[in-house]
Amino acid sequence: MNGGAFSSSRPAGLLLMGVLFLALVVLVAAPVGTLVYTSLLSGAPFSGQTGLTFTLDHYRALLSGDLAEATMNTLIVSLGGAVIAMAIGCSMAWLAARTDAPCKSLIHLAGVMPLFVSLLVAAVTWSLLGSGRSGYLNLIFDYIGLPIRLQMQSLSGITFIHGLYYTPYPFIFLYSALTLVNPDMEEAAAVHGGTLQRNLRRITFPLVKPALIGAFLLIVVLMAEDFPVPQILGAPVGIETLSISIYKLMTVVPSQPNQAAAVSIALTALVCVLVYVQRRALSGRDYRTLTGKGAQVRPIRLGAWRWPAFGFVALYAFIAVGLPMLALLQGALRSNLFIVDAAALFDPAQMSLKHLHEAITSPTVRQGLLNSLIAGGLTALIGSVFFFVLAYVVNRSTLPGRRALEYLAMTPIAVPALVMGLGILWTWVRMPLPVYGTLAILVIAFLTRFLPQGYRAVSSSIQQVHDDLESAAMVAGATRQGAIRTITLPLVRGGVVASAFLMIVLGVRELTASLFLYTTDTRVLSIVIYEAYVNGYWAQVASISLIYTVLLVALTLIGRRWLRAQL
Amino acid sequence: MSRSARGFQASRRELTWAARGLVLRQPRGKSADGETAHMAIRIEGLRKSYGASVAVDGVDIAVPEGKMLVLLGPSGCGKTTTMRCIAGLEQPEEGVIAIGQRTVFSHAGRINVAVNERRVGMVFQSYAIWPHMSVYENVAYPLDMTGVARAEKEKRVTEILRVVGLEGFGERGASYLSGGQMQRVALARSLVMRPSVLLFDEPLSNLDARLRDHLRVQLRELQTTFGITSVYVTHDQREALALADEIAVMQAGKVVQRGDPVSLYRRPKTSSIADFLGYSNIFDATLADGGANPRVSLDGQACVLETLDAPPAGPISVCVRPDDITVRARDGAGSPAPGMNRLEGDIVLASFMGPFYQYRVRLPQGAVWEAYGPADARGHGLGERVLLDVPASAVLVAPRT
Repeated sequence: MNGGAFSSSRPAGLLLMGVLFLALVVLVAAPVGTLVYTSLLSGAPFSGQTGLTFTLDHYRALLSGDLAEATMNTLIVSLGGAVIAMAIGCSMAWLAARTDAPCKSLIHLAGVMPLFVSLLVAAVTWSLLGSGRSGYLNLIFDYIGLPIRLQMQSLSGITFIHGLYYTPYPFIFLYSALTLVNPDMEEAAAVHGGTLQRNLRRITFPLVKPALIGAFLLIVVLMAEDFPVPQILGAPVGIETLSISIYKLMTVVPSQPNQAAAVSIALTALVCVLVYVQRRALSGRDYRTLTGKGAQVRPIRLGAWRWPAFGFVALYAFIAVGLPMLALLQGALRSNLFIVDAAALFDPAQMSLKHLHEAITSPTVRQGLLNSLIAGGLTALIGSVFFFVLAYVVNRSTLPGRRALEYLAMTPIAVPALVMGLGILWTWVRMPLPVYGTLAILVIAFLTRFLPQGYRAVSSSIQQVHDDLESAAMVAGATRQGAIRTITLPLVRGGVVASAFLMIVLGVRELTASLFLYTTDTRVLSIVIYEAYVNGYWAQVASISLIYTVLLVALTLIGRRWLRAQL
Repeated sequence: MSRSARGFQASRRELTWAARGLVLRQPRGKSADGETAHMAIRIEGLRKSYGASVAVDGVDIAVPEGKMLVLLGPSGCGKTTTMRCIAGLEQPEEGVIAIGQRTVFSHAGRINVAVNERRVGMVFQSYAIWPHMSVYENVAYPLDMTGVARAEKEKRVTEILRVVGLEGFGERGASYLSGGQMQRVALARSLVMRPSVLLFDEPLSNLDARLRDHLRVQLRELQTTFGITSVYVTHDQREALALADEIAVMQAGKVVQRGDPVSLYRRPKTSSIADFLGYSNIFDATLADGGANPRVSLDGQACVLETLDAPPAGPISVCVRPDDITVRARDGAGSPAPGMNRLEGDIVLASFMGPFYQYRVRLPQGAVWEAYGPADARGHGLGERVLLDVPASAVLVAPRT
């Protein structure tokens, strides 16, 4: 705030600024820069190969048929999934916010619950439930004589899973927008003679439109860059999205890093466009950051539709969470994999705790669990300090370049996780520091990936602390550091703890960026599941997934108090 | 309200005690080395801009020891920025700021004393009470910063809480206080450090009207009793007139008029200053007769007024306060006395305000005048034709701004 031409704190401020810039350049700019550089080079830049030249060949190759199909598939699974998720999420939000539907708290729970089911686990369980003749659901359909057979390993399967598990975003966006719309506005419209339908269309809808557009574009972005679902449900039957193409280019022998980099840039460009459109739509009206008293609105009477409405929510919760959990239990408790018919599903003679016991006692699983917790915990610890300093400098100083810091910090939003993982790999493999092959590189990846969320969470809690509170402390004789320590820090502690907790949950859930970065010693739990899946150990996949889900649910329950603010 | 009224009485008793026993600051004897030596705050050529917009544009201010200066002006006029420069919360681009004998900022001298070393007290518009601390911790904070011994600290905090009427509130959490109580905590917190200068940034603007009047009186009493040099920022002319030893009116980053409340109220230098000070009848005018008894004609009103002012050159406005006008019924009014202007019009609004009636009167040509009438008489009714008597001495002729 002060800190001008000849104040004593100026050099210290500039030094801090330099350190923050360096950190963000290493975390964000270096990986992205490496990717761009690689995409323009004729060979792998880190392999010691000589005679490399700059070329646009890899970008020309993007126009070939394969990639066009991958782009098409990416658009289908993300736009289609977004339409489904919007339909389900918005209906539930409207039911919860505006109607007299029964069991509101259950509707709330159903609205946000899928956020804490790992997409990896969801994809794996749905391939158990609905692929081929031996899918559990297909066995049951067969048994009761229904002529339906699910085929989850298809474009529509991927779209369906996306739609099913991204509902929390539209739910949260629309719910908070609906509760923040001042009921006076609707009542005023009613007083002036509007009917319910007219008011919904003329008043309520325009008011929540930014939230709807924002939610739609956000989930399109998330689905477009999603890796685990298309990898598990698409790749085995040859369906590729852009992220699958990147992964394939990196894992075939010999790998094609330059082409992978070019595809990465293409995917990033697609995401950038979407993020830009989303920003434009939401500019200045991000409803999530508003917290108001939940305005008490007279609920709309559903009459005879009350219980059918609740039935819809219950059905959704059962399909999205109930069924997969039952499938995991089934998969984990079976003693042999072969299932003759539906009756075998319920035959106690075929059940055993063998696989579950093996999974719990397996050193790989234990090591994975430990690695997940350490990486998540370290990310939370380092992240809290880093995000606080960053958010403080951006919001409370007049140092030059602080806006640039914010832009850098928000950049990872537009960089898909898989792409970021690749960029981080190439950045650190070449560094003289012994980071690659340790958990540290995972911590670096998590810090980069969750930088936007973490920064924004801490930043908004700093913004809620009035400038005057710190000014008053300094007028009262405190130094800037003293004022931060005694006034600002205690007041933002809640927000910082919440964001730290979010880091742990997101870290434990993360798979995509870790894929290029783990080594045998640094497998995290999600990687352990993925490897078991790749190797076809179904019972193991189900057992570990069960443990993993219990861990995530436990973490969520522990942190519910703090996480609420983040939702 | 009753609670704070009791608190107030308790504090008045303590006030006299405090004035004897707890002298926050020894008043300095008058020194002989010239006028500036008595100035507790001296500002010269202060400039501050934010990007392209200039917030403070060459302000000169001097506040004598123990006096209260009020910076009065509309929002965005630079008054708060000026105050924040004194506190050290903003850094000016040019100028000199001295507190007592000490120069705390000088652009030419490359001096900029850090905010925490200026030892000024400040009461913020938002109160800035730290919500995670108790009342006691809030008030003790400045003493903790200077390392005052524990026993001394307790004594001083208890004393100052008594002075502001918050005795026994020490353990209360600061977020459980009413607006008026937070105000008192903020005041106690800035007094406890025995500052050489006290700054008030619109401290009463967030309070309701009754509490505001009540605290304004108390504030003035505290300030005069302790003789603390103060700068007070407000946009409320009533508050300014009631509190100030001297008022500096600010517009667009500049001090446009300075003076004691009475002379300022009587002789605003321009029409826009008059407007700000409650002259609700301001009309464009032209000079009709510039002789010994100057007369001005109101544009578009077919009406000429006598005045005692020698009209300035350039475009002029006529400014009349509503309380200077006498409203009469037409019947039996007689002819006006010499030096009395008489206007005639219809009542279009009559509001009973308690101590007086507020009227709006439309003249035949359409101009609407505001005038106050006595509350004891039966008021004039809507649509009634009345006479407005405006003494020539009340017709202020000022440059149009």
